[in-house]
Amino acid sequence: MERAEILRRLTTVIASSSTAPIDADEVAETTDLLSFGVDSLILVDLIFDLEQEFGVRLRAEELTSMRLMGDLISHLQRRLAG
Amino acid sequence: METSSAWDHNPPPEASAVPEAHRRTARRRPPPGVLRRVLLRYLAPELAFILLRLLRLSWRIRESGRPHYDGAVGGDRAPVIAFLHGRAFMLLDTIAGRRRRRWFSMCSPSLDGDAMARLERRLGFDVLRGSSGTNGVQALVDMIRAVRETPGAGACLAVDGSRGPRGHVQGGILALAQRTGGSILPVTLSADRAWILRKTWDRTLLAKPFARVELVYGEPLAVPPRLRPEEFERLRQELEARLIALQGEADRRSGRADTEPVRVELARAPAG
Repeated sequence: MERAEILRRLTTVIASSSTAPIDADEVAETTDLLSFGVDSLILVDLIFDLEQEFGVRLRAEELTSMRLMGDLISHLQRRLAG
Repeated sequence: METSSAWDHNPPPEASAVPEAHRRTARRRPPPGVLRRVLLRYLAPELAFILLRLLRLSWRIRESGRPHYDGAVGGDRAPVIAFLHGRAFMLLDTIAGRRRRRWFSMCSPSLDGDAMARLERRLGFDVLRGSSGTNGVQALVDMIRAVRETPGAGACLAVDGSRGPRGHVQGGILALAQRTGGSILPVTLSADRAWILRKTWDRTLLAKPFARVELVYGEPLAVPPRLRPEEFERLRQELEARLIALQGEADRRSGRADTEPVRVELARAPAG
């Protein structure tokens, strides 16, 4: 899957889980994941929403170890390819 | 070992906001020696299991609100049972005595949690480990998956655990219910004669031999799969209020007059 496609779908998933207002046009690979205001309960939502969207089961520590959207996209690409 | 990161936006309450009585019991203790580890991890759970089973034979258990339990546990959807940590010791044994479901529970990854986890496994529970931070999130995710994917499963959670403050419901149970059975069954118990472990943060209660035990089920709380933050908080407060009221009812029915409040009040942190 192309990075741009993953970024688009990822932005939609995060926007639906996060409580912070997110402008999809502003989200890029360099966007800091912390800017989405994800707390521990939103993280739970995010893990299940990502599983539903991409069919990939992520662990909490995988997500919390990443800083940028680009890191998450690379990780998803690897998991989707594997 | 617990991990935390900048993603964890739910820090524990400010130390200054927690009453001294609670800080005293929740304070980190020095690393336990080998003997204490062996006692806590292996011997104590076995002794507790035998003690609980013997005591239960002698208790006279009276149930209130049983239709709520039957409705929740007998239905097609996975039941999620909520209780306060201080009554978990006895409640888990009572719930485990009913083999209508495969029950999942959660214990902290601490040494005390090791003992509790071993006891719960002896009682027949599938135990997941986690408390706060990233490992707590992962334990909750694992629990949701286990309950969804195991036919006939149910979940039990001490909602103010694993370290309190006493009577303060954490949001995890709502997230669990949102993604599993869609409702939470509050339950508690009390006894006319009991030991209360006053040095524990949760004031653990254990009924004495031949005590009359009042087991009280509350009305299930419906939890929709999607909630706005303010709705989520309103439901969290509603569950907290119901559990505290239920605890009061169980104590009244058993004739207990516990001098400590069910919910410890947090003082406001000093400004600046």
